[in-house]
This record gives sequence, structure tokens and C-alpha cells, in this order.
Amino acid sequence: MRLLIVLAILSFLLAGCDECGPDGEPALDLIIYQANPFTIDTLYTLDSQQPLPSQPYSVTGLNSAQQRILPINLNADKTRYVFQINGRKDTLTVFYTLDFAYRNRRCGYVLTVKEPPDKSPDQQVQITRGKIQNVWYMPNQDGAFLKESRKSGISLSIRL
Amino acid sequence: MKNCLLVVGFALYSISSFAQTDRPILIGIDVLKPALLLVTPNRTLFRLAEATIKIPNASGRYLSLMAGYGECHSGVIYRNVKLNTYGYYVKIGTEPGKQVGFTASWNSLIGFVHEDGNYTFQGPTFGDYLAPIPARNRAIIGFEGSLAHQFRLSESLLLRLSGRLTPALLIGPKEDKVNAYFIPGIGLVAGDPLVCGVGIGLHLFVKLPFQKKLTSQHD
Repeated sequence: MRLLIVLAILSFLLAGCDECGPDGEPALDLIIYQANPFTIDTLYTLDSQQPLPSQPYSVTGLNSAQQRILPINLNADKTRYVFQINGRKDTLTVFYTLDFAYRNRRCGYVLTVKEPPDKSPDQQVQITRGKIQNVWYMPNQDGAFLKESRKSGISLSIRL
Repeated sequence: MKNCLLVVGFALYSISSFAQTDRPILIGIDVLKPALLLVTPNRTLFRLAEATIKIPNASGRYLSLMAGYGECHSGVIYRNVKLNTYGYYVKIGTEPGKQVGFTASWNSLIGFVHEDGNYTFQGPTFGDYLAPIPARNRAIIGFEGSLAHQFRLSESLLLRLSGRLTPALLIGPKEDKVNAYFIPGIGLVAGDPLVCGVGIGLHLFVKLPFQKKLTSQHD
């Protein structure tokens, strides 16, 4: 009996969790670094119908790194963001390819954010100043034992 | 339409007149299916109709012929999918000849189903993404086993309450791999292309008035 319970617990832990990906607009996880502590005065997009959603955590205050979770446009292959720091406005353009594929009854169609066809760095991200430190097109990742599930999106860090 | 009704009427009369039995032909409709002409809580709309004719044969059983139409406009299913389905079907089988009481029967099922739809990803900031699911037409071939109980309502009316289990195979293209949701003649299904569904039916049968009792021509 104990063996059965142990096996049941082990199979539950190792079975993992099927990740269905984003339900709606995928996320751009943006981190902006700067030598001196700063704050983002304004942040908006050029193509949106509605204002950007509020951030899931407090992002006020001076810091040398600022993180924002921003939505990606589902109806285009790029999204443009404008941010203002210390009175200067800059434009960030992120390029991508959206892949939609039916998976199963539980997930329906699953969305995956992929690199644009042209994989050269300037065709992935363009910014009016600063330098791209890292850009990663994250695939959906199923959860498993000691492995967290993850929804597809883009992780981007820039240094001004 | 008039010609068609005349042909069907004449065929029924001929069958009834020449049948070598004293049992009546039964004509029925599923009275439960029209009751589903409504929108269910998840905004799924069904339009269903089914007619049945049971013809007694010389071996003491009934030959059962069913024809029906089914239509389903689903709400959001499979997380982000909406499917529209319609199709026609015919069921042919036999069942015991008794008119009242418990019966077990089987029917073969053939039909046609058309499916199309769309899927949506919500876009509160930039706008929703809506894309079509390619239309597909498939044939249905299956087998229906049912258990039923028939009650006599009056001299000429019977009520039949039935439960059925229907495995079937869908034959045809399935480019987008979207699982079937509703199949006419079966109902809501699991699996694809081998599907299976369970359902219930409530049929009201009328005995045809022009049945002819078997009498000897030499009396």
C-alpha cells in the first residue's frame, strides 16, 4: 500500500503540466539598465487601442534597473513602445513572428512567439539609443518536477 | 416538395398494404430534439430534428429508418475555439417487433458533416486576434446501440424513451486537426476521427391508420 502511495506521488510529480501558452496578448519582459538610478516618466505604445495595462507590481522609485511587463500586438509582426526618461523620448521596436497551432481540447489553439524570419539583431529589436544586451524569444515550456511552466513571450534587456 | 411528399406517402401506403404482417407501421419524431432549440449556458445553439419510420417485416421484427438534421453553433470551446457544425444523417437498423415495453436495438449510421469556425486571442490593448478555422466536409460511418422503453399513450400513440451509445468514424480531411465537437446523429462527441457519443431520445410514434390486417384470401 505504501509503495502504491509513493508511486502515485512520484508519478504526479514527474507527470508535469501541459502549458497552453498565452490566453491573449503575449508579454514583453523589458528590463532597462542605466548607470545612474532613474525612473521611467512615461511609457506608451504607438499602435494600441487602449492604454497600457497597469503593472503587476510597484515599479515606482529610482533604481538603476527598471522592469516592465508589456503586451505584444497580436495583429502585427512588430510592436513599438515609446518611453521617456529624464525628459528624453525614445522609441523601442520589437519584431517577432506569431505562430498559432491547434494542440488539443484543453488548450485549443496555442500561441508561440518566435524570432522574425530575418534573425539579424537589428531585425529583432531597434531602439533610438542605447544597446541591446539580450533578447530571447521564449517558447512555451511545460511544467515538470522542479521545472516551472512558462508562457511564450519575449525577454529583452537594454542598456542606455 | 409536394412531389417528394407524394412519393413518400405512396411508398408508405404500398409498404403498408403489402406487408405480410398485421403489425402497423410506426412513424415518429424525436420530441426532445426540438426542445434543444435554445441557447445553452455557454451560448451554444443547437437546431436538431429527427424523423423515424418503423416498418414491420415478415420475421416479426421492425425495420427502423431514421433521418435527421443537426446544427450546432458552439460557444467558446477548447479555450479559444468556436465551431459551427451542420449535417444530415440516416440510421437504418432492426429492433424487436413488440410495441410496448423494453427493447434493445441497433442501427447503422451514415451521414455528412460540415464544420468551420474561428479562434480568438483576446487583445485588450491592441485588439483581438481572430482567425478562421478552414472549413471541412466529412462523412460519418457508425454504429448505434440503444436501449429503450416504449409506453402506450393511446390506441394510436406510443412514447419511446431511449438511451444510445454511438461510436463512429469520420472520414475526410482534417487539416487543422481541430477535434470534432458535435456530430449530427450522435451529439456531443469525444475523440476524432474515431468519435463516440452518448445521448437520449424521446420519440412520439403514431400508428399509421391504413394498416391492413393479414387475412387469408381463401376464406
